[in-house]
Amino acid sequence: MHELSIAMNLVDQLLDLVEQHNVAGVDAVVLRVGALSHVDFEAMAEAFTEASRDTAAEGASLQMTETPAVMECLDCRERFESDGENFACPNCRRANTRVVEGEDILLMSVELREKQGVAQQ
Amino acid sequence: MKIRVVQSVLENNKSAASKNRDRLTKTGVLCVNVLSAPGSGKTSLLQKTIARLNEEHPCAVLVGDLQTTRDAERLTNATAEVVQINTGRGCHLTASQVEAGLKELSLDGLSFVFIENVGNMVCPAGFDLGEHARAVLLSTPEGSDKVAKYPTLFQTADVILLSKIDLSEVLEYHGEQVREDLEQINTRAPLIEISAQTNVGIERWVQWLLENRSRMLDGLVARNA
Repeated sequence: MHELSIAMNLVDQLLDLVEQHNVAGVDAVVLRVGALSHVDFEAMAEAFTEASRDTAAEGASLQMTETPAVMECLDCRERFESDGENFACPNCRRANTRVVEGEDILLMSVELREKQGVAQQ
Repeated sequence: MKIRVVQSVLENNKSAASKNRDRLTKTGVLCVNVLSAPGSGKTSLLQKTIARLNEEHPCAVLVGDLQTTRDAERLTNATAEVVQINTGRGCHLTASQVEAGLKELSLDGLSFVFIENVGNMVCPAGFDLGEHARAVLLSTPEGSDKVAKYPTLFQTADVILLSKIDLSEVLEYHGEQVREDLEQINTRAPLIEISAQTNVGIERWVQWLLENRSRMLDGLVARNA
């Protein structure tokens, strides 16, 4: 359900880009979604449709890929990938660890639609 | 026209959270984000905690709920400063809601701000509110497999409270399962068994809070830094 608040933040950022680049709208959006962010892709796509309705981001395609959780052991400083269910260090066998990557949702790139007539000039 | 961006979609929340944390740290207030499923005993725990601490270490509470001010009313009897945040459709608190809540409080003179998050074990996990520490509760009636079912939330905990421990006998509760699961998920956070009814563990939890506040005043607690 938190996909809606994430989608609303995304749309705000897209509208800022539209304004900065003085374009008509957004055609495509590429996101990298951390495995620990609990974002369900289907729910996110629906939330994005909802949040972008009647804005310059409406109709943009949303491409999402998941990025793995990367942990660091606070005892031996080993960095390792986690499946999101087990956070124990493979060396120390203890879960005295912290998340290095995998909580964030990154906007990687956007395809902007130029205003009609601008491209030909 | 394709442009590379590479920015966090959660950037607004992150920057509001770090502003909150800076503000709280500067005024010497330890902020604890309290998370659990609905009905695990967050409000009862906070009532007890505040009754124990408030005279010497003034406390305030920001209470997040989808609807009603009932938790806030229960807490108002224990402390003067309670701010209710109704999230409406929102399944978690955001850092900017907390920022607005903090503006309602006079932070000078406070020692602790507790954030009672919306009862939910999924959505609030990914939203930094600017807290210094996270306390995650699970209660004995919820069963002993909660840790394995919600690993992400328990992974982020700085302290884990096993509440309603007074019911463990009647429920034939298997606390070993919780400990076993935590071996794989989080051995960084201490596990404290508590009961707001019998006061078991409340003193240990209060000591944990006081120690963490001292550490913060010494500049040693820096969540997400």
